[in-house]
Amino acid sequence: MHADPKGVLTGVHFLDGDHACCEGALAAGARFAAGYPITPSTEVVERFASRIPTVGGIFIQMEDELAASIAIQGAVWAGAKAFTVTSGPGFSLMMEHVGLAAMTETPCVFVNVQRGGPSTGLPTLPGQADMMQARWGSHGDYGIIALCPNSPQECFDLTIEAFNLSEEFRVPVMMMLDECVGHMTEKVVIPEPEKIELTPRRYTKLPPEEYRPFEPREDLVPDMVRAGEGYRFHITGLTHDERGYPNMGAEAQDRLVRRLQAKLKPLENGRSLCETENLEDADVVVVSYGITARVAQRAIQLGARAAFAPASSA
Amino acid sequence: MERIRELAGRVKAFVVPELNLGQMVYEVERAAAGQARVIPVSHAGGTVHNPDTILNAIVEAAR
Repeated sequence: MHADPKGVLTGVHFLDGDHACCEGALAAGARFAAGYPITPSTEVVERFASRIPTVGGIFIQMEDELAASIAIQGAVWAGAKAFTVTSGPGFSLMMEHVGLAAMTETPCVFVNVQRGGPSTGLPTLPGQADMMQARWGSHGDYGIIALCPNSPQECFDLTIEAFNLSEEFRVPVMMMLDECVGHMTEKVVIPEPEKIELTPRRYTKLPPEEYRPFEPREDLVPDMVRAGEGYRFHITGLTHDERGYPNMGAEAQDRLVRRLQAKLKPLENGRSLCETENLEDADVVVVSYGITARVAQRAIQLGARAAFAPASSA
Repeated sequence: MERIRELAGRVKAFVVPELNLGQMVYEVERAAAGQARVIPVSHAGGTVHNPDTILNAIVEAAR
């Protein structure tokens, strides 16, 4: 494999969803991954471990998923774009740190290639039963973003989108693959680097004496700093004020938790990432995601073939 | 959510197939807010739906 120095493997490829996800992460600028590889997600980090030395970055195989999901947050605060990869059992173990990332507004990506559950369940077979865990898995009130690709091409495209959204809103973003999409091999087109839009990290322009780490801008998202450039700041999972220091007051809790949810409102109000087809005169709308969207499209085709065409999909 | 809310006022039903026993379907139900039927097509996982199962749900929803 020959990647350019930015890590973008421009060209037409025949990749499975896991590998395409890895290429999406590299194209998005991810230069740090930590993981405790688990079926059916292993191929994502296997490829990353193989590719990252040619691009310039680090993969660490950690002692467990808790360590992996906190290592990426350290990497982010040190300046890297970072992600971890897992499946159901590991996703459960990562939940505490999903909450930490939400609370500390650490932009990072969690890839979950879903398998059958609960517990160790069906390691090599598909499921989509982690969706509400992605939304509500960690305790407390917080907003989250989750994306569900339905093809290897979408695994590439949406992984880039996941990193972009994490940087824009400073939230952990979940890439919710499923085993079928992760192991499905199809054509994947990777564009030239200059055609890939990347959202840069929101670094403050304020001097150190004026900078307050959790003071939001107009869009309710605060700016970050580059480590080592003279800014002093404090990050904690405790309820904190705009300086980042613990504040155990009800008012601080109310202000912080409401902002963690409110900053994602633009996504609820029209910036939807779903695709729609044939909604114009629909009587029935099929709502689906991941591999099930592909099966639903097949069902609609069968219906059309049988001269029955009231259905559309969203 | 906004799109579902808009559509709910003019369609008969939403069909929601998932490889679980009902998760996102409740979000669709919440957005539809009683304006249209919401029909889950649940599956415990381990394989994907048979397309005919989803088609049957669509046909039933259109009646």
